[in-house]
Amino acid sequence: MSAADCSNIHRHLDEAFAGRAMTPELQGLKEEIRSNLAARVDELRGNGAAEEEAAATAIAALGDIGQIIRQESPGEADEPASLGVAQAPEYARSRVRRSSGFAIGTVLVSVAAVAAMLLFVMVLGPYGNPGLAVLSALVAAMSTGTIVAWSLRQETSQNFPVPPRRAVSYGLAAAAAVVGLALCTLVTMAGPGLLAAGVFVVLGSVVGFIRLGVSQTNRRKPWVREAQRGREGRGGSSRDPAAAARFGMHVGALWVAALAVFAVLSFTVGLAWSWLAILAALAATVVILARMLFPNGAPAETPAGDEADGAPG
Amino acid sequence: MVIDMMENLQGTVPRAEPFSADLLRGHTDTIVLGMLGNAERYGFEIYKLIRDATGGLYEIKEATLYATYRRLVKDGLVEASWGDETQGGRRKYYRITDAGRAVYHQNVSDWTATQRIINTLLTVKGTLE
Repeated sequence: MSAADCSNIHRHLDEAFAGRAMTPELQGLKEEIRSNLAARVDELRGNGAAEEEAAATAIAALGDIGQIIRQESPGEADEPASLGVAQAPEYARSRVRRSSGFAIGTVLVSVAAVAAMLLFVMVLGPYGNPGLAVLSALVAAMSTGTIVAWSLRQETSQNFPVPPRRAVSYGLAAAAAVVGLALCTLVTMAGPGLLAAGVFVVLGSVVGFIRLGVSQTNRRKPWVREAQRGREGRGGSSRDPAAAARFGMHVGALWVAALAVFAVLSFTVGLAWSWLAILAALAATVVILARMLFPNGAPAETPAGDEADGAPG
Repeated sequence: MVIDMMENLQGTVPRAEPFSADLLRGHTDTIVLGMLGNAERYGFEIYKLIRDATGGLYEIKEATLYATYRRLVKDGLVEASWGDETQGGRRKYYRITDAGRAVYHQNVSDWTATQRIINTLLTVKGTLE
């Protein structure tokens, strides 16, 4: 880009935005249009057009931006007066009937998961049955993963379904957490090697959840977002960019603390009770994850710092 | 006018485009969602993809696209983020969300069904030959 076509573009933009109060939104729109015009001028010049001509063509192809500028201007676009009334029909329109197959299925799978966990606890211990323990742990892990993935695939009145591959990834991460915990617990039967393996698998699951959480995009339906915007007033930020980083630090601190407590308890009280530290840490991790993914789900506002003190005693 | 025929630029007599511009315009949101696919793209890139995909036959005015981006972001179907370009202005990149994917697939299947119905109705024998 040379100075000549730059100045043409800048002049055109300045004229189009003249007389508007430059809010951050309008400033952003102007910047965006400017960069796209520049990209088009570059393309035209690459095809051999002269500078002035390229700028003129780009501006002509842009079309009338007056309307979009008016829409973005403050005080012209926000009209909803009474939110409850406005959203009732929206809610009715996007209402999704609950699938009975899913309801029955999750209940059955949950029963299987609980039964497997009970069996696992019963056959645990120095005189237990290792084969049965492994089998029940696998069943518990698989049913947990299935419930997670299946639930995320459901469309609700408020949320669109998660794409299949992401849902399966969430399910796998949940299943890995169960497998890792089971391995940690099996240490009573098969020695401390399994403990290391279990901690490794749990950490893998945590990393998986972090990756999924950080890359999670919006899945709320437009009417829900509209309702939230109305409730929040003018604050429109739907996702806190610092939330993911905070989540990582909290989980890291939590697991360091949990492993320390686990080690201390193993040497003092014994392995029969120390695994509870890992369990508590996993539960706290899931809670922190839920708080990061659905920050508006909990109405109670708690300061962001006190989330990581769920470490067991 | 949203549509620009390439021939119109040279021809003396402006000719109506050989397709329904209104019908196409009604699907701009879905078209943009489809162009986003799995990548992050900025405005002119999306514009070029649409232009090139139709061999230059259908060109959306960029001004229309800006309104579409605003609407899609507002509804949470795409997310926007600024690039780190220093020359020629910062670019705004868009990527599709899970909600956007769901809406895209829904709209595509709606269109497939609609298109089949229209095809059936418009080729009824004996109405006008």
